[in-house]
Amino acid sequence: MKILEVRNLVMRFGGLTAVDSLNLSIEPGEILALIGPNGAGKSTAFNCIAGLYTPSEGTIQFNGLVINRKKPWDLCKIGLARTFQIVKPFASKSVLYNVTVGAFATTDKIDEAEEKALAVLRTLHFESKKDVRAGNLTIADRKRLEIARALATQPTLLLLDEVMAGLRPSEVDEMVEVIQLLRSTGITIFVIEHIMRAIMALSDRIVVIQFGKKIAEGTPKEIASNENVIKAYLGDEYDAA
Amino acid sequence: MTGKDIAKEAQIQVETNDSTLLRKKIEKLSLLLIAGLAFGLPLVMRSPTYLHIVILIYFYAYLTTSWNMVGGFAGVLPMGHAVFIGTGAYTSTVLSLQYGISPWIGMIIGGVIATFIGILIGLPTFKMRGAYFALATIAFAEGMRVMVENIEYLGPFQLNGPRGLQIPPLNTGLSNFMFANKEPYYYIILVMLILVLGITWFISRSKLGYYLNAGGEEPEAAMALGVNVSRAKLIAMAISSFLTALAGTFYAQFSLFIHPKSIISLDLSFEIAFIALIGGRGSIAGPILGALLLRPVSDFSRIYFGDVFPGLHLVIFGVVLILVMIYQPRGIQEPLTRIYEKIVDRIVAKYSRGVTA
Repeated sequence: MKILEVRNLVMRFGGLTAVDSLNLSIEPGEILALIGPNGAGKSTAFNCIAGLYTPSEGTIQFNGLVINRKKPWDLCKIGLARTFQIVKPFASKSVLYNVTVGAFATTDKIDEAEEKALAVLRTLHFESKKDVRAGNLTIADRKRLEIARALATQPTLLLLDEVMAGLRPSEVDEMVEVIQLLRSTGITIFVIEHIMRAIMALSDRIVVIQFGKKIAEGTPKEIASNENVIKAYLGDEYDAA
Repeated sequence: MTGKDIAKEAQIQVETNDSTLLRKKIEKLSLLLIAGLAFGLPLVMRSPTYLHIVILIYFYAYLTTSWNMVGGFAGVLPMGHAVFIGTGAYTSTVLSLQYGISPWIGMIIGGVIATFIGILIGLPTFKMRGAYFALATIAFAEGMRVMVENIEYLGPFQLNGPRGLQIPPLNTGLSNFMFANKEPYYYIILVMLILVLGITWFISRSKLGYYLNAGGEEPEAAMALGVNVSRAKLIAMAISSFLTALAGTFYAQFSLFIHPKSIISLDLSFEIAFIALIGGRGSIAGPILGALLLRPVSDFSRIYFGDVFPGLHLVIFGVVLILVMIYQPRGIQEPLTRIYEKIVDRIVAKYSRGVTA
């Protein structure tokens, strides 16, 4: 069974159709990337899947369950977690506090939650910063914190919204390692990303959208040589080239 | 790692364990000391005027601590908590005047009614953010005051409109929640304050506390982490309004006279918020420190300037609030906590040096 199946997803804001009959699906254990030029509707599609928006049309199934009208907190409890493109740390609190909030999704006891949070920090090699105030972290560490918090909710499907944007190349490499590590623990991963080097290294399959519509789908190799994709990114003049 | 390194590490481990233990000990001792001082105060302070002022300090510290569960942890700014004080005061007073029910029972009933009102107010308003929420709660509180001012009889219950209710000081005694001198009131409000502080401490260390803080700071992120933000806020509102109503009954029994202008007034709602903002929202010590600083200012300005310049205490509040917001935006609890930590550090350092030497 597919872990996530999106069928004919449409999302309209007033007269603007941000996502237009999008179809995609993810197998358990896979890393799927969603790419496209700025404003293509990637984040909107994510927000629909994560329960922030209710889709105008279409169905979204998570493990066979229709989740169109489910709220973010309910989705989180059944194993679907996400990070935000614009990081949203609880800035006045420590890193450990931030991650513990996530860990409470699976337990009611504070000792257990803190233990789980510490375990997550350890896996992400983030333990040394557990007492730092989240507001004082560097951008790379904030992105890491986003992942740590989402991971603490013990998801089976993790949606990562541009976790590498704004990172230095060496930090990007570290993040790629982190994501590969997560996959090796059995978590299915759905990423939005702009950094092609990372996408090519990471993903099993790539879906490309433009103006809310899917224009290509395939392995990284197929996508790199796909004419539609090159046009979408570089413009029509490159058609001949 | 060589054997020497491991030994060193173990040594450091032992030392840090020792110092955290010592820290906890100091913390316990200072808490005990403060509690001892608080319980012993009426033995030393014989003047009823001063005792009255201290009782009001505790009363406001209690109110602000109750307010803090919503206003501090949940990150919204309720400006109408006088509704709950009024609900508590009127419920217990009407029940005891007309039906002879002990104010202690009326206190609980008032609390339950206030809880319902709190949820009723919270349901539509918690969707709003920032100033809109504050305005909505002000509207509820003012609406309530105007209603009570215009109601002589609410069904069978006599409210007396703007004239309010007077409790004749006839039957003193614990079961009637009425005493001839101030000491019993002092101990009652002190115990109430300690209990509400305990509840706050407990909540801040629980899932609810984490969820409130998270939802208050970044609602969207909190939701994505499994937090039902509005439900957490509603629970906090229910607890807060219940506890606030209890203080209403206390005030009615303490002053023996309640009227809408005194007990459902905006002044009262604002004063609670002021104390919280100046003391430090969302901290446990903040409301107490705020009340300790501001209540005497308010009382003395009323005593000395009350006839020439009424309302001066609100002007002073405003000035203090502006100064605190500029120099200590997280309230005066922050620098004070830092000073306390430094003193503890010094004691710990001295002690451990004494041991190793």
